[in-house]
Amino acid sequence: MDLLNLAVDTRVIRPGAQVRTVFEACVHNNVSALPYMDAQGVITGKLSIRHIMKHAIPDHVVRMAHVLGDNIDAVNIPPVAVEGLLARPVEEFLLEPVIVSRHTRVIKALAMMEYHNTSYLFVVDEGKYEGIVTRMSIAWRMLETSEAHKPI
Amino acid sequence: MIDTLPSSINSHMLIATGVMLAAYVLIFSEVMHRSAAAIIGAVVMIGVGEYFGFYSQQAAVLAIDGNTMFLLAGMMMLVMMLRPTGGFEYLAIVIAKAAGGRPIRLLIYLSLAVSVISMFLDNVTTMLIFAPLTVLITRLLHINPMPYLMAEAMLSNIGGTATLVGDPPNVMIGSAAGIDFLTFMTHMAPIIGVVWLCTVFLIVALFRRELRVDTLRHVDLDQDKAITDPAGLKRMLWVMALVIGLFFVHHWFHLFPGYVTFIAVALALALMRPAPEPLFGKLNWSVLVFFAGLFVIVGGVAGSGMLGYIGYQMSLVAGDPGRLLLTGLLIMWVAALLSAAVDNIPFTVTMIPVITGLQSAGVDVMPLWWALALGVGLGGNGSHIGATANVIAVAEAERSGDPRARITPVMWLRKGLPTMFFSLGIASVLYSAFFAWFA
Repeated sequence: MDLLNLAVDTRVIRPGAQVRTVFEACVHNNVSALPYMDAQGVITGKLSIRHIMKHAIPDHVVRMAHVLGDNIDAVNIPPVAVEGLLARPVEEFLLEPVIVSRHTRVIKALAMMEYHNTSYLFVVDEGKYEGIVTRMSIAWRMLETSEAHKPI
Repeated sequence: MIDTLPSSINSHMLIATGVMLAAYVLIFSEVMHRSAAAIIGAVVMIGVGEYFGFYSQQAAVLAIDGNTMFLLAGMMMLVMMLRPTGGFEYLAIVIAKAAGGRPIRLLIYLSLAVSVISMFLDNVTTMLIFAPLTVLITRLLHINPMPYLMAEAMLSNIGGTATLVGDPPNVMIGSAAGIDFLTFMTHMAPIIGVVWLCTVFLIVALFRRELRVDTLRHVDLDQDKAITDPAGLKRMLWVMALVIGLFFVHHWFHLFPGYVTFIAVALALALMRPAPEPLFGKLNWSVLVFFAGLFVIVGGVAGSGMLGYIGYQMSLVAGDPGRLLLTGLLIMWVAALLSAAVDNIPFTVTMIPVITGLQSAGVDVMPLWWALALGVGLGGNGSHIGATANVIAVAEAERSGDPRARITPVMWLRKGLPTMFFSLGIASVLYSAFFAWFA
């Protein structure tokens, strides 16, 4: 199976972009992360919504999430903080990308997701970004192949 | 008796002292992790000692105080089984609600809870649990968390000084001096109680501006959701009650505190059936290895006769009953000042054989043990690196993301140093006034 058949084509984030751009593109493509391409056209990073949002929540609130009540206005994220986050340069939130080729087997892709504790991989073929493979797209394919009684 | 101690310095003493000082420089300079430095120092000390004939592998093994090691390891295991039940979080939330949003009351309640827990459990774990909750609670109440974090750290350091198991130096002192839990507590708790109360007043005065609020607010946290394993919590509370109860009577049954702790660990393991990997894998081995390494290093210096020589020199002063009080006060203040600047464990481990040497010179060393415990316990408040609880408070303030909460080293010195001198002053007055009780 060519992994491209499972990949979702998305835009890439270029140097100098703001977090707002990442959120807009993720929402548009219904994915939770995007690749970051440097000035030389190489995928050198990833931008994850989860990772960016973690910066909006104080650490002590995360650790005590299970005991929080519903009326905790004092620790809510104020609108000004949201605006501030969206305006920040993406370079502040870069993570190491996990990259596979179009010829990577699905089982290896799933194993890579487990190993790297991620739910998406970037497909790069001969240096060209081809799209993002997610657990959701693999699940979709599993359902399809199950109905057709074919190997994935 | 004094003739048994060496009265002059020889080459073995100088070599052993050189190795120890080199190891301590490695530890305090933080060039490498303190446990790694202690291991290297211990290995060198044994090798050099074997070569020159003042120390042996067998002596090094015997130098490690098994009672201290087992007590610390056992208490770590008990805390690791108690912590995931959520009992600490439950207590903190109940206390915060009981304070009714009043800042000073909240500071006293939280500090009291942390201090009392620190008398029986490791105050580092207590701070690790209470600090993030403290930040959250103060945020909900629109108060600066900084005074609370500093107060909890400083008062838990003071509280831990009251008991044999409250602070690692106390464990070592109690083990070396053969002091039982009850004797330790009856001697230290009254003086620490007074010091604690006076320090609370001082802290409230020092932070009076930060502790003002215009409106009282509600703490919207659900204590019931904090408890993740109610049955496990009940079991562990029974086990903790047993171990604390046994601490009070262990000397009547000739049980070592380390063995008492392991009775509780055995019971807890049978009742809780924890997964082995999280329990044994997360044991704080680096602390245990650090202590073992220090025991071996100091054992080498003792084997060379150097500590006996220092004991001899001190016995010339302390041997005079009229100067024993002065010696005690000197030990207390030197211990405190050093503990404020560097790790108090190496100093305690080094001082123990010195005081034991004094004992063999016929000096009444009991007052000196109490002075040492007070000094190393109270001295930790002097700087932000004086105690691990302080480091946790500083880190938590930084993580809170609230610029008002940031605790800089200078800020700690401004508040912590007066607190240290104030508490030492009170301890010195009480120690002097009731000196006969400590003798």
